[in-house]
Amino acid sequence: MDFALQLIFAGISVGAVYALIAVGLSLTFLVSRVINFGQGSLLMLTAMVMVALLGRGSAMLSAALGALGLAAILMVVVEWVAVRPVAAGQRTDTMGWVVSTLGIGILLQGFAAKFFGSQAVAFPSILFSSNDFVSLFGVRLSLQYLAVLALAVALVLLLELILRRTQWGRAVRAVAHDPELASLMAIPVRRTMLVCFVLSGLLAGVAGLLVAQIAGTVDPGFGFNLMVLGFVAAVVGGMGNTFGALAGGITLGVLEKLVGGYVSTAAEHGIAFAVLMAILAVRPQGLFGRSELLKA
Amino acid sequence: MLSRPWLALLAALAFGVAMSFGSGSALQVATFFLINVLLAHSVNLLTGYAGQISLGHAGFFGVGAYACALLTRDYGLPLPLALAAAMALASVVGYLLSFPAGRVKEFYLAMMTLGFGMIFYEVAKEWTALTGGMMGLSGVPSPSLRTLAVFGMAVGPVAYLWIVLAIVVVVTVLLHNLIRSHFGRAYCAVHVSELAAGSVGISEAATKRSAYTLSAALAGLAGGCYAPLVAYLGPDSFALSRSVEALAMTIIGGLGSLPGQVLGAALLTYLPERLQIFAEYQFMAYGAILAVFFLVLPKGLAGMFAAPPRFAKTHAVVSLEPTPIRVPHSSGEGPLLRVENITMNFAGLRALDEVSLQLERGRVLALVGPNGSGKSTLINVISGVYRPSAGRVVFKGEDIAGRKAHEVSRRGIIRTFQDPRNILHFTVRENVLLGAHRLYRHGFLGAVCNSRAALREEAVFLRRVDEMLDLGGLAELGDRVLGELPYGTQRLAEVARAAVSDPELILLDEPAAGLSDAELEKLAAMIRRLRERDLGIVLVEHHMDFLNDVVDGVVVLDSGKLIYRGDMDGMRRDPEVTAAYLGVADEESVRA
Amino acid sequence: MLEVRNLVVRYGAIEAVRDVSLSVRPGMVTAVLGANSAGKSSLLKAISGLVPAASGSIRMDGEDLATLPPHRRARAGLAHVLEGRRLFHPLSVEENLRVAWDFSGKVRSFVAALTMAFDAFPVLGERRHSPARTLSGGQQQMLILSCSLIRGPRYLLLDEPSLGLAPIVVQQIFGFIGAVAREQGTAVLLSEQMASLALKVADYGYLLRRGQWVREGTAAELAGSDASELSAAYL
Repeated sequence: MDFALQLIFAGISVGAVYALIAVGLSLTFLVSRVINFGQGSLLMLTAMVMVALLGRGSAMLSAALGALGLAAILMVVVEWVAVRPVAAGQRTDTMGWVVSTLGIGILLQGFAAKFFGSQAVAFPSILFSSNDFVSLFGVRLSLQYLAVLALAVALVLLLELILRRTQWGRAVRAVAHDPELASLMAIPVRRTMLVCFVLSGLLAGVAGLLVAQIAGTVDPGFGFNLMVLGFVAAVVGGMGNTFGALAGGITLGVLEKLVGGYVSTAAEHGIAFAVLMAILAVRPQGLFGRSELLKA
Repeated sequence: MLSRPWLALLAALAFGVAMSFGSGSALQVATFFLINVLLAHSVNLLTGYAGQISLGHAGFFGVGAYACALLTRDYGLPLPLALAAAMALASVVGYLLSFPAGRVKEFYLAMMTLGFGMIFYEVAKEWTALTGGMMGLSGVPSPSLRTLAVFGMAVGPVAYLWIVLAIVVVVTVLLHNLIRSHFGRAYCAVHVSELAAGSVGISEAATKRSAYTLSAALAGLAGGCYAPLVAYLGPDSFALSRSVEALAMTIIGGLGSLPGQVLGAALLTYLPERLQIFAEYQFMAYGAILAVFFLVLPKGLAGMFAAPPRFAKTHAVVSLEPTPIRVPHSSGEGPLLRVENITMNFAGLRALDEVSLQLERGRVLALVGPNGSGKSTLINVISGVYRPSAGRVVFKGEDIAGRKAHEVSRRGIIRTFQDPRNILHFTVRENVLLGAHRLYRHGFLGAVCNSRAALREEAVFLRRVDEMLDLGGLAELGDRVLGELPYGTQRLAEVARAAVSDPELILLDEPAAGLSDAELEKLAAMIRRLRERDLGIVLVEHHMDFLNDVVDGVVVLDSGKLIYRGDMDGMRRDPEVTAAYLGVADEESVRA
Repeated sequence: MLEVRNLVVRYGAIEAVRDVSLSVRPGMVTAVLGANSAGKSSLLKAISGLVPAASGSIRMDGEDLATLPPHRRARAGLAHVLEGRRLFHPLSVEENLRVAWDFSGKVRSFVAALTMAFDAFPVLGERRHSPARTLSGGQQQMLILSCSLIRGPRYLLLDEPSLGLAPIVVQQIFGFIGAVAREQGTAVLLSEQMASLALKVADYGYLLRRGQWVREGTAAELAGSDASELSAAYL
């Protein structure tokens, strides 16, 4: 029983990070209809840069902020290279964005391999150490997992709050639904899109740091699978539905851990994707309700 | 002077000869490039023509590769049979995937196919007994190890290159023929407008299924050729990155262009090789080139270096004498069309309220009314786009209400749309030819092999298209790409498309909107010609002067109700019609 | 004053608006009349910047709008109600109003703006937390009007506000539009297919046919003297 509870707990923590990746991905997708295939590399690079900055003697906080700032700046570049040319020419049907976002991902991965080495590097313990545990209702919980869970959930909720309660958040929802109408309401559509890309970069960066913290190491190839799992969480939850992404991510995380714990760790990803396909076949709009921002 | 296909063949031969003298590694890369061409063709068929994005092609590729490897290694199957089996197996997988994939679009389709690719990868990794798992599967009969034999003859790297080159050439030729047939046009139609496809008798579901099956078969063939080349299969060759790379080849080459696929495959095969001079910066340079590719070349490689693809076998007309095909019109009893008490509700709004009308053969009926009165809704009900909430649509004695659009169209009811739905990268002639889709009888094999029967049929319909183009004053525009032509031309082309389908009932939704006076003349000429053929015509139109000249009767709708039935003059004097149009909002006419 | 001079709008090779000139004055309702596809929507979209003008000029209080993107024109005091009752459907009634208010000049507080909207259309107050997609057609049109008006526009473009609504609702909405022009001094440009109805609320009218100017005049002139010419533009 303890084993099961521990698996579930670990799954919830990891799932919350998937949700973080998912909301970042869907934020940019909703306003630009572009899937950023470079998001995975961004996750990885943020963690790598953080390690490098710490190695040069930066303080913890300034290293984290520096790495996150870089992630935000890179997303501005993504918008400029991969999204604006598509939007300006109304040429989404040539799907050039697949190539350009992928290119950025490869570029960042190559950059990381060149300057930080292609081997896994240890990620320092920032949030407690991997040996800190608390006992709750008789279950031993890793403090690190607990902190990651708290941070990820807090950020997802914060994003939801921003989208609901702030001027720019409402602008994002308006642009996602109908950019033309939004512009008639004096909303600067281009700037709103840029805000989304920056936010998405920050979310990806934080997710990268959190996953690196749990995993303990980070290597140049580390982002891609995470990005795909973020996709799955987004789709399971219904694109553009923040709470859905949280539910989708946690469902996915728990499922993976349970399969990994009781069946085989080898099967855990396969199961995740089988679930994804089954959900799409039965409920094309995702598991958790309607896609809130997308549809009328 | 050689024509372009012959030049392409010559280039292929030259490539083969040049590579035959290359080093072992050059041969390996060249063969790999050819396999990439096959893979790019496969993605292009599904994504470029049929418009279904795929992030899972590595799955089909892998099915083919493992099938070929296991069959040749463990069962000693000859390579040709193993390749055929690889194609067959992959196509079955593609067929099966088309059912769930057909239910989703865009982003969700991308995720669905990605999920498929990932599952395949996981299975390849974990099914150790079959695939060798992470250790991989080695000992595949291979040309580089001199262990491959075809029909008892040892096949070395050079011979293998020629085999794959021959396969690529044959596949490219067959695809070239396929794309120019009614099958190829159907793929494009489903991509551009599912409504337009249905209106000419193309089944969206069946077309997508065939695209998935065929595309998977091609990827399976590519995978089958890949297994002997590398002699060792590891699951990482079939990971997501392979799928994305395949899609990138197709996009860089240019979606929908066959030569583009060759260029895209060449770029993505040889670029990383060439970038080795950047040593440790190789990966970064590669990424940077991809990132800015569409900033620098917004039209892709095909847009720069290749002529746009064409979608009809126009050469058939000169090479063969056509024998006319006639579709017999059963001239049955009773009116052609009877609409009986049709009611259509949308979420609380009653768009049509117990509308009834009927139409005889050889008559032109105008359907008019203010914006939002339900005219287009009625057209959509008759043509099978909507299923009515109540009532019957009786066509030649059969109730067709609720049938799918392509089923209605195949029975002989053809429509046009309020906003013309043409395929803008088709020429005028190709667009009009699309209308004949439901009349084609030749099958897939005839289409890809350009059989005499297939060409004859194509010639017959092309002749018919030319007649209609003459009538519509579009003859000299036949070979122009429609998207570059004025709006009026696009409207006329859509009417011509409906006309060549040999319909018995034709529904024209605002065909005159946006036409110049000269174009109106041509539209009127086409409509009169159609009426002579003894078929029924329903015209939704606001342009009253135009209607005056061509219609036999008029029906007026207002707020979903039929308020007038009779001739044009009577309509002008009818107070209720005037009120509906000018919105005389006195107390009596306020019907809440 | 809003002045359009020799405006041409093209979509590719199609000329949707051909050489149209008109003026819209504060405190007045100006109607653009004409059948479907007469070019009314394109004219309005060119004024608000959603489609580019191929040639001609659009001036608002003397300032040329040509280089301004739509959101800058909106901020300068232009509101445009699109055809087809477009709203942010997943957002609630209040959120729709809030989005409209967020990027306006904020001449009044949001609470004041909300009170104003709910006073004009009490039903919106009752449904303030419902998603906009759940409103009836008439209620949606009321919400759209409110969204435009709480931004305090000096110029209001309305594209076919009567489309698909019951006549009784249309009368209510037209009455409201007339009152807005008279009481707030807003310059209203109303595009309408229902000519007689529009001319009841309008002060001045322009008749378009297939993208071209046919005639203009006061509402009384257009409605009274030459009914046959008016209906000729339609029938």
